Amino acid sequence: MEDVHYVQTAAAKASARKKFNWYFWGTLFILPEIILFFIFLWVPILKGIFYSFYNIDFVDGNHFTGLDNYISIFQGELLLTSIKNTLYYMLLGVVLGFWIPPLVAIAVTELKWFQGAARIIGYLPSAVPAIVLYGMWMWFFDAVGPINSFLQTIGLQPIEFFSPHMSMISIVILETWQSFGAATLIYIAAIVSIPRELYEAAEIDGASVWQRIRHITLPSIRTLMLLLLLLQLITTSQGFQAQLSMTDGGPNNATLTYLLWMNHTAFRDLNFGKASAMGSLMFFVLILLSIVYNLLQRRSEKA
Amino acid sequence: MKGKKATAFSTIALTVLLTACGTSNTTNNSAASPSAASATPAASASAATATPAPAKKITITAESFKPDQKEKNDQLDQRISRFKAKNPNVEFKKDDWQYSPLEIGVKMASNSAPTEYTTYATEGKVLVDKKWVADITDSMNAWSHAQDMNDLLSKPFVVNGKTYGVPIDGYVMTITLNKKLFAQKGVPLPPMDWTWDDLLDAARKINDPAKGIAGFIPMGKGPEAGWNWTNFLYAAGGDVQKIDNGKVVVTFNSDAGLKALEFYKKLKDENLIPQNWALGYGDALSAFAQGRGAMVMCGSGNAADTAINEGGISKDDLVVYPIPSMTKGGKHTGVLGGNYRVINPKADKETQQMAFKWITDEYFTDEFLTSTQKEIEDRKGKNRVYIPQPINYWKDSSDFGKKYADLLAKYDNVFKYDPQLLSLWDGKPEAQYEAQKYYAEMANVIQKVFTTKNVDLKKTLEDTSNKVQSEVFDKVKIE
Repeated sequence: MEDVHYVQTAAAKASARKKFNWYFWGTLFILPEIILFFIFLWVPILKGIFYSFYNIDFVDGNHFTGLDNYISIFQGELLLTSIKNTLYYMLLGVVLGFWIPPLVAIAVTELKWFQGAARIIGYLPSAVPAIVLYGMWMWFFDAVGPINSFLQTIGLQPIEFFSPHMSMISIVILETWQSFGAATLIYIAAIVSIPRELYEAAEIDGASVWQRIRHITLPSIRTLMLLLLLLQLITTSQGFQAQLSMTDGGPNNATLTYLLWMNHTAFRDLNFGKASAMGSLMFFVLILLSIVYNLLQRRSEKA
Repeated sequence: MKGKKATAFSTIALTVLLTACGTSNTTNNSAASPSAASATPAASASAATATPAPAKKITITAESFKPDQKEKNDQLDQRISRFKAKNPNVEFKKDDWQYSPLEIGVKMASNSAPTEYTTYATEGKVLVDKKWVADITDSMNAWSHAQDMNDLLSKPFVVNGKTYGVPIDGYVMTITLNKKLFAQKGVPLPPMDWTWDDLLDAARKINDPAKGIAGFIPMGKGPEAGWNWTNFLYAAGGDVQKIDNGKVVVTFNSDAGLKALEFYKKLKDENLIPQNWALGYGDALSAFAQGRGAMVMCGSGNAADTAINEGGISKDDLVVYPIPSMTKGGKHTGVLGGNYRVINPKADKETQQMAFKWITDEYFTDEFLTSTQKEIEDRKGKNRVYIPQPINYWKDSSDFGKKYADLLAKYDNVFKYDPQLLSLWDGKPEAQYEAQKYYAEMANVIQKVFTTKNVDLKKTLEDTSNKVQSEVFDKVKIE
C-alpha cells in the first residue's frame, strides 16, 4: 500500500516538475516580448491614464486636477464635431474603399496572363512614402491638376476637392489608393488557397465566371472579409495622418477627426493632460468595442 | 482564486508603477525648482570670496547645424574654440536639433533640449507661459551691450518686464511680389506706399485661374491662416486683445476685424486666390516659388529665400512690399517677427549664466561680421543668394550697423530690400496672451470665408470672438 502511495507521489512530483519546466521555459521565451510590451505599451497606457487626471507641467511639476481634463473635453463643441467626422470617415472608408481590394484580388486571380505583374502594380502605391503620397495627391487634386484637366477636356465642371463637402471624400480616395494594394495581396493569398478542384468541378458543370465568384470565391473569403472589415474600422477610427497633412482638420473643422483633435491638443495647444484624457477615453471605447466584438463572436460560434 | 490573485498582482503592479511615476516627477521638480537653483550661485559666490577656487566645470549643449551644413558647423567649432580660450572651465556638447513647436514639449518632458537654442517670435509667449525658457533679466542687465540692443526686436521676449530671449534678427510681415509675372502680363508694379485696393487691382490683372496662377496667395491651412489675416487686422487699425480690469478681452471683432474679413471675402469672391485654400506656410511659399501666384505674404526675406534658392527665380525678379494700408495715407502695420536665442530653464543657474555669455560673446564684434562674410562667400560659391534679415539686434544707425551695411554692399549675391520699405513699414508685436489659440480659431473663420458662399461675416466674427473669449481668454491669469 505504501509502495503505491510512494509511486503515486513520485509520479505527481514528476508531473509537477514537467509542468513547471514547461511553463518556466515557455515563460522565459516570451519574457522579452513581455518586457517590450511592458515598456512600450502597458507603461505608456497606464501613464496616459494617470496623466489624464493631471495638469502636466514639465518645469514646476504636475498638479492633480481631478476630472477637469475630462470635463473640458465634454464641454467643448469639438467633441461632437470630431466624433461625427470620425464616424463619417469610417463610413466613407467602407463605402469607397472596403470593396476595392477583394474586387481587384478576384480580378487578378482570374487573369490568365500577367498575374505577377498585376500584383506588383497593385502593391506599388503601398510602397510610396507618405510625404510623397500627400504631395502627389495635392497635385492630382489641384485646380489645374490631371483630374480636373481631364474633366474639363471632356466638358465637365472641375471639382473643388477641398470644399467642405468634398474634403473628407478626397482624403478617403487618396488613402484607398495608397492602402488597397496590401489588402489585395491578403485577399489574393486567401483566394489562391481555395482548392482548385472546386473551380474545376464548377467549370465542368458549366458555371460562368460570375457563378464561380458568387458560389465559391466569396463564401470562401467571407471570414477574411469580416476580419479585414473589423481591422479597417479600428484603423480608420484612429485616422489623422492624411487629415493633418492635407487639410489640418479644415475647412472649418470639416476633416477634424477625434485623433487629429487629440494631436492638436497635445502638440499645438501643448495641453498634454487633456490630450491624455482624450487618449484614455478612446482607449476605453476601443476596449468596450473589443468586448462587444468578442461577445458577438462567441454567440455566433455557439449558433 | 486565480482571479483574486491576478487582481492582487495587478493592483501591486499598478501601485509600483504609479509610485515610480510620482518619484520621477519629484526628482525633476527638485532639480528644476527655483529655490534649489538659486541656492547654487550664492554658495559658489561665498566660496569665491573665501579662496580663489578653480572655476567650476560647466557643460553647455550648444545648438549646432545639420551635418550637411559643413561650413556653418566649422564656423561653430571655431567659435567654440575662441570661447573656450577665454573660458577654459566650459565644455561643449553639440546638438543639431532645430526648434519645432511640435517637438519642444517632448524635448522638455524628456529633458533633452539643448542648453540654448534658437526659436522665433511667435513662440515667445507660449514658451514663457509654459516656463520652458529661463528668465535672463539679470544677465541681460549686467551685460555691457544691453543698451545697444534694438528695443523693437526685444519686445516679443520681454514679458511682465522680464527678459527671456536674446534677439538675433527680425522682420515685419511683408508681401513679396514676383516682378516677372507682372511684366509678363504688362501690369505696372503698384506704388510701394500701396493700399488694399492697389493689391486687389494688381491681383485682378495678373490672376489667371485657367493656368493655375493666383493674384495673391494667403495662407489658409493651420494657425498660419490666422497669423496672415492678423496683418490686415493690424493694417486696419485693429488689435487682437486688450487688458481690461486685469482680464484679457477680445478686440478682433471690431470694425477693423470686419473690414479685414471683408477684404478676404473679396479675394475669394473675385477668385483672386488659389482654388485650393489648404495652403500652409511651406505650401504657400512653394506655390509662389513655382510661379503660381504673383504675391505672397510672409516674413520679409523668407518668400524671397524660397523663391530664389529653391525655386530658381532671379533675385532681380522679386521685390518686397510692406503690408498695404487700408486707405491711402494709412499705416503699413504688420506683425513683428524674428529669431531669438533662449536658454533651457532646466540648466542650473551657473550654466544659464554661462550660456548667456556664450550666446552674446561675439555680439557687436568683428568676429560676427567675419562669420557673416564667410556665409555670404559660401553661398556665392554654391551659386546661392544670401537673404539678410532687414531688422537686426543692433540699431542700424549705430557704428556696428554701418559696418554690417558696408559688408553686404560688397557682394552681388546679397538680396537687397528697397529702402522705402524700411521707412514705410510699421511692426507690431503679436498678441501677448494665447496668440496661437486665437490664430487656430481664426483659421476656421478664414477657411469658412474661402470655402462657403454668402457667409455672414459679422455673425461669424462675433461667434468666434465669443468662443475665444469664453474658452481661451477667460482662462488666462494675468500675473
